[in-house]
Amino acid sequence: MESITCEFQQAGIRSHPLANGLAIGYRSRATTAVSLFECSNSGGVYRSTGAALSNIIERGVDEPGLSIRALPGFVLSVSINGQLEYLSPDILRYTGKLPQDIQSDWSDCVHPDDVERCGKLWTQVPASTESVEAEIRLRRHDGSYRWFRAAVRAIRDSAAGAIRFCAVAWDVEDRVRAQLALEAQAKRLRLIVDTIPGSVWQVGREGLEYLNRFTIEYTGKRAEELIDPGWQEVLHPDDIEHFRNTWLETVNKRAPLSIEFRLRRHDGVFRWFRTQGTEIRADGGEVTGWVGVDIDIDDARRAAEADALRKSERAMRMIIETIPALVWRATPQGHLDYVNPRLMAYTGKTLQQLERSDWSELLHPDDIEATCRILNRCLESGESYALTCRMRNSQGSYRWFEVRADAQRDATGHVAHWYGMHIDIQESRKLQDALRQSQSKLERAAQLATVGELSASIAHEINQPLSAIAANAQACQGWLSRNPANLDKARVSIADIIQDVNGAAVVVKRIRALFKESAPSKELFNVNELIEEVVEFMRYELDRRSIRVELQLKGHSSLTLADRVQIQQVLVNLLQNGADALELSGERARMLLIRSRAEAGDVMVEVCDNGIGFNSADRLFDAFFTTKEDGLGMGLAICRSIIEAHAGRIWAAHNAPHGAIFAFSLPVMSPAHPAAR
Amino acid sequence: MSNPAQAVVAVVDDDPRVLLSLENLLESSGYAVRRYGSAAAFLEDPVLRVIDCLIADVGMPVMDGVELQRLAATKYPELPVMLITGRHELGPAGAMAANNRGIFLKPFDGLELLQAVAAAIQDARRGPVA
Repeated sequence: MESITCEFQQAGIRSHPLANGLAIGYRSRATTAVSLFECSNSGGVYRSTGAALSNIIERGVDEPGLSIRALPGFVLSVSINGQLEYLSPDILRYTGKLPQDIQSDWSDCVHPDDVERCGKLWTQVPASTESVEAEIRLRRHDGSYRWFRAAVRAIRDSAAGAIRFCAVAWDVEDRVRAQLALEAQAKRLRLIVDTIPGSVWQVGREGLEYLNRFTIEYTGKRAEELIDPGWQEVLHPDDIEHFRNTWLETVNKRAPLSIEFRLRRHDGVFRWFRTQGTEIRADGGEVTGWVGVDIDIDDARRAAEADALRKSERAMRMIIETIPALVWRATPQGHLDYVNPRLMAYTGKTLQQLERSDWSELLHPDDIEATCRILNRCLESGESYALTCRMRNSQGSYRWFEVRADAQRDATGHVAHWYGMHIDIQESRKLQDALRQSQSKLERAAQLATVGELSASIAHEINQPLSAIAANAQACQGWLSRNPANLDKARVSIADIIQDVNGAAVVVKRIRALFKESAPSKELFNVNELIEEVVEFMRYELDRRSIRVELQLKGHSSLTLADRVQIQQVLVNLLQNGADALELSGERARMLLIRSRAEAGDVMVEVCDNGIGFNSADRLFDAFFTTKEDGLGMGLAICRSIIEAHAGRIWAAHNAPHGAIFAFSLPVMSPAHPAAR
Repeated sequence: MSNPAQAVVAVVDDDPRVLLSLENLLESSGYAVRRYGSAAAFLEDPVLRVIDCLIADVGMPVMDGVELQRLAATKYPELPVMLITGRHELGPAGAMAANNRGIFLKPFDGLELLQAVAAAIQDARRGPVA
């Protein structure tokens, strides 16, 4: 009794835990005028313990400054044998029940789901020295339930132990509701986070703190498996470095995290994700962690890539269609399977027409043979080709084109396609031809002039004594045919003839001396360099005549002491001769083979053609001997004089099965030779 | 040495070998020959009146044969002139050779020259008479 009084006295002071609890659960409707006494009157509850109750009530009322009845919340007291000793009027008002109803079946006032818990509460109390508390729903008189917090404590007296139980309950509906709402919200949030089709994560100062279900299910890894450095196993190897750097930047520079990377799915497939993350700060502004979400952007990225591909395809198509050239593709057999619009526009034919027709019909009749020869050879060998030819346009006129094509090969090395391009070179070709023509005319004129001049001089020098010889011979005949013959005059005439013959011989010697005086300026060089120079120099001419040149050069270390220009003249002459011989060779593929090798102190050069060849080598190197209609017959003679002036040899041989070989040899000079210094 | 019946042929050439051989040739045919080493030497000679025929080399220094032929034609229009040349291709003589039978290309046939000289002298002598 003392104890409870004390308790409630203290309950009046708000510092007591119970009083605090009451204050929390307190609702204003508890300010009621209904007295416990009135309750007992109206209900006549306390049948068996009426005296005891009235005693308590009286005491409660009588205590100065304390009225239990006035306390907010429900208060009740139960004897050790389960008899209600006291019920605060609010209980009756709230439940709408009479004390005896409560005595007979208290569980009727409790939410069915809470009855069990409520029962446990009562069973725990006798053993506990502390108050036992629980939150339960109590049914109001209108049938609705509200949450209450109930606290029960055993009141003991020092001798007998527990003598009664006291209980208080106060309305905590709002708090519980708020809490339930919070719980529901948390659950909803968890549900959202777990259902989001993306990886949600939280990282604290110490490392990974949270991963949503998506991450676990997507990667097939447990959260703890992804703790650093476990995450590296699910990242694409190519992305790890970038990811780490970006993360460090986020942490160190406090930048928002934004990065794309490939994440491995449980089945091993990598998909692109984009992470957006940000830091979490405590109230003081201190960074406590980071939170972010990784969204699967694989499809979008693929779509973007496909879009970019389409765009680049469009751009490529645009280039191919607008490039000022005729572009085509052909099968390994040389059948066209793509042509750009310019090619169609130029030829006036569609791809279908071009596919059906023989494209060589578009070539200039003069170019068909050479072009087809090169094309067929390249189609067979797969080597890329470059040629020039004339092609007919839709109006029927021809223009010059430079054609270049390359084979694209598959993995096995077989030609998969031919790609080619025709570039219109009509204008430059015209210019080039004009230039070439005027140049070669000039050269020819100069050559003719020089040769003419020289031969005229030589002729004059020889003709003078020859005239004198002829006149004297005729005179001698005249003197001898006189009657009588004037033998003295005849003798004098013959003496004159002899003198003039000797004079002519002197002239010839003088001419030879004249040539010897123009001593060649000799230098040391490797003849192979010169061969390459000359072939390059004549490339245009040889290409124009569709002549393939093959070089087989050896003896690169052998040096020759010679007049570079003169040896160059010899090479030009021999190549020119070979090219001329090929011109008349007809169907055969035109080919010049230039070989060189060092041999027994000499360097030997051979120019082999598969042209028309020659019948007899006897007079080939004689001056004025020619098989060409426009030839002077000086070329090989000059070659011979040059080579012989260099202590070399020049000769000709038949090539098998066709053509000729013109060869010369020059002595090899050791660099230690005095002349070489 | 010369007699009135004997025709006189003048030869102008800067090459002494040709000069002497032609003198020999013409003398062997019975002509009197006067030799000159240059066109100027010939033109300065006062005995020109007695010349029946002139043989001149085309290619000579200072004055060539063609020029000499032109000058001679103004002074002595009746004088027949034969040109000889060792240079076949060059100069106006080359062009003239095509249509002038009075040009001989060295080395020429002596007999042809003699026949041409004889014919020319005969024509010239008959000319004034006719």
